Amino acid sequence: MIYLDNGATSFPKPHSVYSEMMKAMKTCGGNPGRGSNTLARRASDTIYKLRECAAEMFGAESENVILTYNATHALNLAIKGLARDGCHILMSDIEHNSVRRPVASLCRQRGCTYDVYPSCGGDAGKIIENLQKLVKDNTKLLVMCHTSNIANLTLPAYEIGKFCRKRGIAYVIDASQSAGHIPVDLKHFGADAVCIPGHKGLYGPAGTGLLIIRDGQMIEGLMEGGSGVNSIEDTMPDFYPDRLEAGTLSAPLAAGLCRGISWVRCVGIQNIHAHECELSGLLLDYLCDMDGIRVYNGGAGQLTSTVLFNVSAIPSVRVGELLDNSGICVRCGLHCSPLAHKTLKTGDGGAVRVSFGAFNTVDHVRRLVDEVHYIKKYEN
Amino acid sequence: MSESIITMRSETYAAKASKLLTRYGLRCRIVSVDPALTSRGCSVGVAVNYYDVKEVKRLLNGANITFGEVLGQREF
Repeated sequence: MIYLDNGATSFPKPHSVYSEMMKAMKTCGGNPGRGSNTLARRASDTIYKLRECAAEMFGAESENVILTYNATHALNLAIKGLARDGCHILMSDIEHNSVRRPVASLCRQRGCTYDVYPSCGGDAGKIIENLQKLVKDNTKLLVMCHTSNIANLTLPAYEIGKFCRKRGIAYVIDASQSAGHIPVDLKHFGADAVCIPGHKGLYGPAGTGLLIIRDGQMIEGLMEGGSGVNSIEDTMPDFYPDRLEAGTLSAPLAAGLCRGISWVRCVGIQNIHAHECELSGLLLDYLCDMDGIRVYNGGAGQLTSTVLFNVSAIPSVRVGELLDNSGICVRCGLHCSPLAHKTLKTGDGGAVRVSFGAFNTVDHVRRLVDEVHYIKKYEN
Repeated sequence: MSESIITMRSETYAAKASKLLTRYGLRCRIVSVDPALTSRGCSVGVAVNYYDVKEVKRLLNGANITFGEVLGQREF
């Protein structure tokens, strides 16, 4: 089996992630943050280790690392927490539904409005120029997809952050496809919140995510419940991370994610990125040489772990099915990003997405290209 | 040994404090605090040597680690 769907969730995970999770299941059986018995203590230590590890990687203090179920959960917390009733919101034209839907929900429920700013192939000057035209007096929030989940496009996080700081606009970064691939730093980008999945570029287990929030930026949570502290009060604590983490956290998941982050840092983000780009570049070269293949280019000259294409007029889902029959896993359709597909003009049927990870090889690219050749020849 | 407990906001702050103090060679451990002793119910604290309290407070302040009250002296 060749797995080329790392943009959805990375697979396989480093061996140490599996073993660490199993170890945590067997030895950290207590409830973290609830009591001080030995097993609860071990579970708490495991959780804290993850916070420290993530804080170091993403430029934050450990108490500002909020553990979430996934990036969508983190984005909902950040977007709904930082928006103000009736405010105007800006989001890019490559946003995932994990941004588009919470923003639309704010418009329905809290009288907000929004505009979509063009990603301009990642050109910082042009993006800022457009933002200047779209910004309003009541613009209170800007959301930016750092790296597209469907195409080779990374947006200028630092420059957009500068724009937001100058105007007092809260700035949320969706780092779903950038964390673990390229440097992501809350402080450097001047962001108020960075939302990260644990199970993609960080090689942790599914069911993990992180919200990294700026010091002093206090937001409301989506849930209330037990926190292990301030139990007499009927409100959630007024400090992070406890304010946003109602209920029991999972020590085994935290152990797995912590080990995933450690693995990424040990291998080196730049090495992983270089490897993924080498594979993407190779695939792009092959595809561009083939007749009848339409490749969708997100950012001119940019390479990421993702390549998006269609094979002649064959529906993308059919291509995906045929590749799956040959033991190759890719993702087809709209990838929960109809806005981004509209921007790239892929059409109603979407496209085929190949997303590489650290464990893919040049041989995987060649096998894929052989299959695409075969599909093109016999399915047309 | 004679201990005092410095109450912390939560486990995260207690863990952060504990790491800091250990780094400075100060013995400490994270403990549950008797809810009857606080106004907010269950909480956690860092138990330290009674004679280290002044130094512990200095280090916590220096590292911007928020802490609460210092609960008396206990014999162990």
